[in-house]
Amino acid sequence: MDSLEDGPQVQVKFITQQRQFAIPETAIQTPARLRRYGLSQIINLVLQNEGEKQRPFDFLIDGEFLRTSLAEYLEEKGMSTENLLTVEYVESMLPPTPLSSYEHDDWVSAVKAHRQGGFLTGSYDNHVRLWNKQAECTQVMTGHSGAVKTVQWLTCDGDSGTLLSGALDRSILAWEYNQSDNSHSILYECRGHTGGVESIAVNAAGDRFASGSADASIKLWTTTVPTVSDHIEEVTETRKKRKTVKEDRILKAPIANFSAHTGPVSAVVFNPTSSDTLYSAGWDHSVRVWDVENHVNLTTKNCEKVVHCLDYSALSGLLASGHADPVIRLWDPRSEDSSVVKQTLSGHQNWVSTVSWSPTSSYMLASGSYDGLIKVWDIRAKGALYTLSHGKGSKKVFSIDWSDEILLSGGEDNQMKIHKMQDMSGRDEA
Amino acid sequence: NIDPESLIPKLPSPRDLQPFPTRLAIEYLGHEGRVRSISVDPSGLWLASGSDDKTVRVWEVSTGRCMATYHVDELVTSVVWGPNKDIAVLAVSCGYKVGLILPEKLFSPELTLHSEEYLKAGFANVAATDANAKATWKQPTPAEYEQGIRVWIHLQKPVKQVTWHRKGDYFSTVAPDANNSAVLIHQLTKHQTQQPFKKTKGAVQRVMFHPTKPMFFVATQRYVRQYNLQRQELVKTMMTGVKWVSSLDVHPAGDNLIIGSYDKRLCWFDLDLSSKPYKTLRYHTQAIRSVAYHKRYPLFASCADDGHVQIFHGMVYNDLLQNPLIVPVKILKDVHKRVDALGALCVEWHPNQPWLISSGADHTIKLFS
Ligand SMILES: [Mg+2]
Repeated sequence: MDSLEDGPQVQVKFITQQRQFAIPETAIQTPARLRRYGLSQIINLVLQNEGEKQRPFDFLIDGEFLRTSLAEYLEEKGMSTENLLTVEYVESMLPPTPLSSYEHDDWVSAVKAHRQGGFLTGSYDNHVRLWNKQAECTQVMTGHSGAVKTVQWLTCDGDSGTLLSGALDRSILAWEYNQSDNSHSILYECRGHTGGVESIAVNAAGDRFASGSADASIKLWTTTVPTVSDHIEEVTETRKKRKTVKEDRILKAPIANFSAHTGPVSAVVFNPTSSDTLYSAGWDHSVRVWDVENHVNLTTKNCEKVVHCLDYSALSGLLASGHADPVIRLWDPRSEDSSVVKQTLSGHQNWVSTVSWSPTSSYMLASGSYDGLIKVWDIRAKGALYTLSHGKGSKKVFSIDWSDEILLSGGEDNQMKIHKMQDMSGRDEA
Repeated sequence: NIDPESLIPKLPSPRDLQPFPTRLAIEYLGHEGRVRSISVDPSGLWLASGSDDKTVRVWEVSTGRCMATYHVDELVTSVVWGPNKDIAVLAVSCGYKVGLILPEKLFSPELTLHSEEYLKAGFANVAATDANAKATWKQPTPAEYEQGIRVWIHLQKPVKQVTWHRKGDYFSTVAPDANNSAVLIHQLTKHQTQQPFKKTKGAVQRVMFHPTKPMFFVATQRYVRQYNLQRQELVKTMMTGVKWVSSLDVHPAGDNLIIGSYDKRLCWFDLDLSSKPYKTLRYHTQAIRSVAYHKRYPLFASCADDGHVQIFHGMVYNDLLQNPLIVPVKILKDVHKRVDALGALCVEWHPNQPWLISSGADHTIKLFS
């Protein structure tokens, strides 16, 4: 190997926001021919990381990941090697690798993973499905009379659990299942929405959930299993008696209705550290913050573009929203200013239909789009870190879920796909 | 010393006139014939389409999913959702008939039941059958009822267009071959049909209700006439200067209108200004098939047999002295493949987003956002 003293040198100040990897902020004489790998070795050298302890790093200069040598970078930017260069380094994330495909009979519109429970999907064939890690469908839950648009876990304890599904039939169903005897049943049906249910969010305490609907309303529900139906005014069918499978169901009414949106609500998400804070977004171009206890719309952010999806990261304290324009916007929900977008991420070629923050890094975000692609972003960089295709062709991606070290995606190609997300970049130290 | 350049009014740059649609977002695939007519319901969630494949389809706007297919026995010439949010009804014309469809499952049981009653009420109200009736209101067969069809109206000549009055009770039909009864006005709640004009001058192409006043527009091959329906009188005749009008739309404020023509021209009329076009635009290289104003954004669009869709900024000012501002902002090229010399057949705006939907001879429907 060439000596570090060979060839032209650049003065580099290495900085990082990951305190566990910090090195003294003094300029280091660095060979200009070095690329990511060589620079990574320098950081490990200074950190005295040897053998197993060595970590791969990525390098950011002015918001761009270094993909060439320092010399080539400086040349391209018309910069001299005489300048002091400030370079930020972050722990590398290896490219996601495809693991498996879960075949459905119809469009997969909703996906959710659980550490213990396997995977949950909702489909346009009106069914909710439970899958194990071997890509076997263990339960097909039949009960909705319209396309399932959203699924959420309520509880999961090894072989058994409870979950929620929302559908174009305007209802939310709560289910319980048991994997040991392959059984499931409907616990109750939530009635009250007059349009399709697009999104469900469960609070951290697990005692409430919220639903967002195409009817422009958000409704709040308890998770207690009722023994008798709430009083719900039923529309009497004057014409032919329909075959009814619903008559045995216990019906639940909402405990609160949040109205402020003036168009379909596409997403609701609870703040996982405060069960009293709910975020929502919709076709009226707004992202809203709600005080759940007092039913108050605390702040409203507007961006003049339809919002298709929303996710909140407790690690970064930021909301990410996906839009029709087709951009991802990052918002600070604590800021009172109604129109300040903290950052935008561009790269998708069609509507951004789904976003999911990394469960372990405050900088990492995944998105899915009608362009058929999934992108993984490091919000410190301008472009996407990785771009994966969900399936063949450019079939729409409807739903993704980044959970633990896997990324689920579901789409128009009737598939749920699983990617392994290796070694999270920027994993925050507790 | 005045720079003569400074006296020429500069058109604003399209960049400053956003939002307007720029890219293909969703395709609605499934029709097996030309798609001649499309319409988005007042909620903005459901797109209806009518095709030469003798079906009417309803699609989920946000995903491109076909939610329902209604089979009729003739080519579908026109589909239009009722404008009243509280009544779910889709009017379709095919052959000599107009059908009123209540799409089930898409709407809440409350809205569905209310719509059902609204559509049915007139059957109790039918007077003795008039042998001279220009139209006959009929019950669908049980099989048709099962599909979602609630009412048939049989006319004496093929129907080319259906258009609603803003309140959703009255609607008008055009049957160009029916001479003096080419234009009929129907009242849904009473199941009654009237002939508004004793005589019709010229071959009627398109009609439209005024968006706010009891006025009515009739486009023939070369003229657009504005009538006062209450006083039964002609208010104004607009001379288009084109050879053959194909399409018509009235600005949501009611004092401007546009027409498209088979001889490739689009004319904008300011009803306060003159009976001649305020502007004549010639952007298409083939016959214009459809023109449409957006109801909420200052936008209008045209589509033609050249397969292109042209999008314009069209701002109308409250100030009577300020003329409308028209700026071409985007041409969407080759949106629809030309098939047998036909291209893009219909353009419609989403009711509350700056999204444009077009349908074509290539059997496709496309949404641009
Ligand atoms: Mg004027």
